[in-house]
Amino acid sequence: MTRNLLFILLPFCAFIQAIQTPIKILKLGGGVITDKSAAKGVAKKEVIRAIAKEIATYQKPLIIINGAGSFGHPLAKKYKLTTTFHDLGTIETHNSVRKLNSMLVAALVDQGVKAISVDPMSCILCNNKKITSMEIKIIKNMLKIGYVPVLFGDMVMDEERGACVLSGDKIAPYLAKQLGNCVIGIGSLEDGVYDDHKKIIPQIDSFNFDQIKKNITGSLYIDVTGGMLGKVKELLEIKGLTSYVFNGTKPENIRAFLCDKEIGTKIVS
Amino acid sequence: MKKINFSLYTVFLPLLLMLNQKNMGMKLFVHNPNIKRSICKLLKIGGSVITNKKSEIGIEKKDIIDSIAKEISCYKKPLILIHGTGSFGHPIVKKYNLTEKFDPTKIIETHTSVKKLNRMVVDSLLFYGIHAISIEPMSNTICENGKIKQMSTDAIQHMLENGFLPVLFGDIVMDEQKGASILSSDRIITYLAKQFEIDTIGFGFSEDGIYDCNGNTIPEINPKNFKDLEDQIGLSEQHIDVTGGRIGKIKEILQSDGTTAYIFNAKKRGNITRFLDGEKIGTKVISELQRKDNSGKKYDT
Repeated sequence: MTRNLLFILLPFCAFIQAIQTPIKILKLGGGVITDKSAAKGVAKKEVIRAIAKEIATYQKPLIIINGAGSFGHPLAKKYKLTTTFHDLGTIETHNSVRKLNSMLVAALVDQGVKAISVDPMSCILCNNKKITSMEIKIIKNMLKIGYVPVLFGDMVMDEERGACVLSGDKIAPYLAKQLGNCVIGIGSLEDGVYDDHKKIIPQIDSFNFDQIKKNITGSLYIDVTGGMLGKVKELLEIKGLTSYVFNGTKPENIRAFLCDKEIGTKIVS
Repeated sequence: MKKINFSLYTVFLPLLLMLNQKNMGMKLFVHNPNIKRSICKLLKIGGSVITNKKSEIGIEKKDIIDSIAKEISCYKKPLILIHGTGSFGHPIVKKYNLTEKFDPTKIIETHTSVKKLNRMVVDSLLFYGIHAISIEPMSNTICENGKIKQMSTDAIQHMLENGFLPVLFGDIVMDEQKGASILSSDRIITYLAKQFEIDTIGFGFSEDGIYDCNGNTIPEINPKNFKDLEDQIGLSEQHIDVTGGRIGKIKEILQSDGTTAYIFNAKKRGNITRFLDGEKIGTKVISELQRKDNSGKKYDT
């Protein structure tokens, strides 16, 4: 009888496991891996290496998206890329953020992670800053065969504007929506989402969002992509998605996120 | 007890499989059919032109890359550039036998290597004032058993419209059946030729064209004379090439609709300018279906 029950339960559990192993999407804020106060691209190489080490032990499906930090925002500001089209500015910014991404990918590969850079400029088209087309099968296939795709906040072509700034915070929810069954972790500079008393809000959901909306404080440095409130809003728009906003610079935090621990601010839509 | 056991399996398994299927089969890629495709030229630069193909490790020919970039910089109309990988790709692929077996870490190594060459080409183009943007096949192409299943060309289209020069290259890409597969730059050309309204295709190699058995350049190859010439062509390949060789390239052109291609020597100064200016150069290859005019709407049958 027990044996019979086992026969039923074991494959059942295996199936549940196979279906429910969520894809983790880890967004590394530009402020975490670069010196965001710098006027030009300065990478925090030690932090990048430490992060790569923490990721190396994780074996399940994972997508990493890195922000641009000082490799992107100062250039985007200089050429006013959020409002106008500038061809050379687009190229310069794109090449700069790519450089940061290849540093991250190289650090990951160094630690034995099978990381592959996925270039948003090559595969994403936007319409008025919203993603309209992206070949998601490539990401799926990478995950299937055990690669870790690493995307980044980038300049991409835009049907209306010519080119636009696509922040990593926009890519994460898009991927979560397309892939389904994802958990997003946003490793930022702060311990979570703060209220107006500088206290971390433990959980944000659609019920309490309206109340605390006005209390959420923004990022301190140059940020052309919307700040904390925009990020939270974006995440709440996708049904059934769980996300965490936590401090990506503190050691072990990324590992804690990958190990399904409750950390920072939990955002449930 | 056995009865219960059986019934549970019959109920749960299909249900779970269905759930799984539903998740997998979602229609995710939305191709926009309304986008009007530009008329453009395709230019391929062979790996043997820009690298030392005899070498076992990647060695680029910087002076040739620069002179090619300089010639391209005078051309202001829509153009897509595709370059081969030469010694940055083929030796690694051969060494680890990547055409036959799937090796995740070696694939990363190859991809990183070909990207390095691409970076040099793009940087050189930028130096000469061309708004070049690298397009990574790894990021935008999915294959099925070695054949391109889907390549997102929307971004390329918008680059052409906005005056950018997209630069693609032979790369390793994701493959739904084999895990990953090698995508030669010639395959990319064949695919792009179907996606865009192509004016002409230029193949810049390190020889003056396609040679016959006496070593003379054949002026024109078409479906009619190809059978006679097939035995004479070939054997021109002396170096490592994992992606098919001359005959394969010509066959791919001949099979595509309404394409005119020129195979010429890209190492000789001025040849790329000549091709871009529309001059007849090297060996002309024309496929069976010829386009009536440059409006590119209808094909002659």
